[in-house]
Amino acid sequence: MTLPYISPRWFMGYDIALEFIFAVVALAIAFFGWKAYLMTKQSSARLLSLAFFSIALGYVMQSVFNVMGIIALQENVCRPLRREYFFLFDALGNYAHAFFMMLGFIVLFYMTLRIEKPQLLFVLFGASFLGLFFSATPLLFFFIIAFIFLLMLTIYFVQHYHQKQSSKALLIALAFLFLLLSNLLFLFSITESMFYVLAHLLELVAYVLILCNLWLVLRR
Amino acid sequence: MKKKRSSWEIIRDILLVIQRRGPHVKPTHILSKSNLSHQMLTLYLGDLQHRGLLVEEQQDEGKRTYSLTEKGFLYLRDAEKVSAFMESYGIEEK
Repeated sequence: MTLPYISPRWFMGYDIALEFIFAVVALAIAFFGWKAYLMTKQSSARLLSLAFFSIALGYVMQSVFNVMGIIALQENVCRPLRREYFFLFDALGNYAHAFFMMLGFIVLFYMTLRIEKPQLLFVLFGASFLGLFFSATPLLFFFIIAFIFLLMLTIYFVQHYHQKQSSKALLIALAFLFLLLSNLLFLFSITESMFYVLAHLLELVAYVLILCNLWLVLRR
Repeated sequence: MKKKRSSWEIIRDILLVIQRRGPHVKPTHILSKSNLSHQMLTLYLGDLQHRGLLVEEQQDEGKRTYSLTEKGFLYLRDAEKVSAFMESYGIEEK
């Protein structure tokens, strides 16, 4: 897999720190979702927990491989080999990130449908992952598919906010709107590296909103 | 049409009735507020006692009452958080 976007040199390291923060927030949601499942035995709570756990794994894998890539750049070997290692870890990180993020989005989307049809889940997984692995530009494919799922999720959460009119529902709707915009910027980061930075900042806003919602719930 | 309550919602409703009306609540009051048949309420009250969420007490006049235990209060507090959490993601009980 070739690098589909370019991170500005000054941003290297910051992106890893941000991905680590996103992973921690996603893990917190996965943990509380699991607690909700244990208490209520509702399958939707289990799906929410699994989805956020998968999203957290996506960020963890990406940041771990990015760290390995940076370490590889400082290895005491010839320059072309260092670059080879860097691109290898970068590609592995991108694949792992795409795989787990897509898994998370699909499970979240399935959760919002409120139907118990495992066949549908199988079709969504199959179509998305076959596309990812056989596409000539896998990351571009990932961002497009992720955009579609995020769009559906955003519509669902906005509609939910309109029904409930609660501040917590608003925070989640806004968070997914920011995730959607961030995903759109990642698509454009292929041509302009500043979009990569902006996409991360929008993602940060989204996870801060998700964290605010969790804080509002827990302080009750 | 009103949706059918899940087992978890029924438990939360029973505990809420006892918390609001407590500390000592008669089974007839729980029955009228929880919208359950006598048979179902007896089953639920037995289960909740077994789980240590409430205790049955005999009053001086020989009447039975129910009170929340410390564990019951904690469960109710957690249940409210879980309910708010699920509501914010639009996955409240079906």
